[in-house]
Amino acid sequence: MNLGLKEMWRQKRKFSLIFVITLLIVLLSTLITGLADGLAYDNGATLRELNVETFQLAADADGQLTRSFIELPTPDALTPLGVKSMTLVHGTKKQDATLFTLPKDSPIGPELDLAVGDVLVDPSFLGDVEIGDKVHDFTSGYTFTIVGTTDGRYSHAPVIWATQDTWEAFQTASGQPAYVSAWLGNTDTSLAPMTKQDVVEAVPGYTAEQGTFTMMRGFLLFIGAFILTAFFYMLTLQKLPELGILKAIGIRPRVIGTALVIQVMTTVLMASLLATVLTGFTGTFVPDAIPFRFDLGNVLAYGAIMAILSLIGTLLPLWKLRRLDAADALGGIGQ
Amino acid sequence: MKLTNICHTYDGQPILRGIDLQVEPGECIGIIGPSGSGKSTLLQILGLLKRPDVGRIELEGRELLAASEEERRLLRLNEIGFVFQQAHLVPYLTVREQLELVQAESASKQDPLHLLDVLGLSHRLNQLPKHLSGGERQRVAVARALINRPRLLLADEPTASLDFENGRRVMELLVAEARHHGRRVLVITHDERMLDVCDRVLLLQDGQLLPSPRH
Repeated sequence: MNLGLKEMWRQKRKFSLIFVITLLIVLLSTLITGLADGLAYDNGATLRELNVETFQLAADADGQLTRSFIELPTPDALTPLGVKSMTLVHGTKKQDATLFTLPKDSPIGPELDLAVGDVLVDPSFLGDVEIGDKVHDFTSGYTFTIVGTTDGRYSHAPVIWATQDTWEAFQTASGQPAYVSAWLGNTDTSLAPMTKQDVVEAVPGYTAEQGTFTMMRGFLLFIGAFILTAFFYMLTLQKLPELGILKAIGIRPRVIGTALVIQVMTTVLMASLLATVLTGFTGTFVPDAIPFRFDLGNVLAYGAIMAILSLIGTLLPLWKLRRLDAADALGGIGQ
Repeated sequence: MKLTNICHTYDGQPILRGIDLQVEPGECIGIIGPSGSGKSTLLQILGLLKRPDVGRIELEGRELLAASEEERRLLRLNEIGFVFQQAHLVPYLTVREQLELVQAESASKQDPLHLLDVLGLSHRLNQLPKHLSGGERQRVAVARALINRPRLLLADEPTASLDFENGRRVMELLVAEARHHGRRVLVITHDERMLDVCDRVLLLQDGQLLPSPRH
């Protein structure tokens, strides 16, 4: 068995502690990143999950769906999308939500086999209201009946899905002019075509929020990696006298270096793997009200970066070992 | 083995001032001297762990100080055995593995089991250092120093951490190695009770190596 693995096996308590510390640092990074990713995704989740790549909005809407008003009729080759932010009232309770509508048989969004006035709500909308309850729009008084749930968030508010017929009925009841928010599809029109990503980025607050999240992820990764690097640096420094003895009796520096590299890689990779599993597991039980997103690619990338930086932290003192006067390790200089 | 005009300074202070010494195969030399006289420095220079400011070291006709870093490592591995004041064993290797670690790096074919048997450690083969007594640890250190059949054995206060009985046993081991295998053995010690087994005792004082007047 390799020297490094032998040490790990025979000094289980010490390496268990090192493993737990490494795991906690990696887990801190991946969990916070999961929450940041969840929030970041939450802002435009419904848009991202629509099965369409091109949106056509009114030219003066600046890409914002809730600010885009397109007069009817919608060209046959395109699909109308209705989007409206509203405050819904149930008894004395009020909740903000965003109404999304598509034609009943459209394959672009969730299946909407609904009667006029029926809605599917994001699970986070439930709590004070239940399936079967009626809620009404605070400004128009229009009544919606909750008949089921489907995941959907827009600008951090729960989305309620209804059919285009409900959209039209709502507009008639509230005395609004008939319009839709966007035409979906890439047929040439006089409107401004935008990609899905453009529309997501135009969601109010999205870009500023992403900047914050990017900074958060960056700092987390930097601080986590720095702590790990310093941690392994200290561990190697602590072993220098022992390594100096090995060097003195003629053991090749490569044997010593390989043992350290194997220890660090085993520890960090196992910690990253377990952190990945725990982060994924956490994602399954966090409440619906807390947006959490487990991105395997991100988590593995974090693990890889941590492993590389930890390795650097371990190998840096080995540079000292190369230059270490083995006599120093033995002491007694000048005696 | 021949040392010629070895000089060394530390922090601007001369520690060794022109040391000349010849050690014959099978000879065991004890070196004594006051604290700070440069005994350990001399041993580290002999063990190719330090380079002197001036001087020559020849081992069987070969000039050692001109060797490259890698050649010095190989010389330390194959030609020189070290026994330190503390055993300095690798804490997570068993007695047998301590020897195998060193042996794996060299071409030595000596059977570690036989060596450990000779040193009275055959019943401790699979024990970790923490389960050994101080005397046993030091004997393992001696076994580790001998596994590659070195021509030069250097011991720096090998009995300092041991009681008299165990210290005596280690000294006798070192002398036996010199006598029976023709190794050159240099031992630094403060314990004058250990010196009667040596062929010669030298006093290191004021940077000079002189015959000890009391031995």
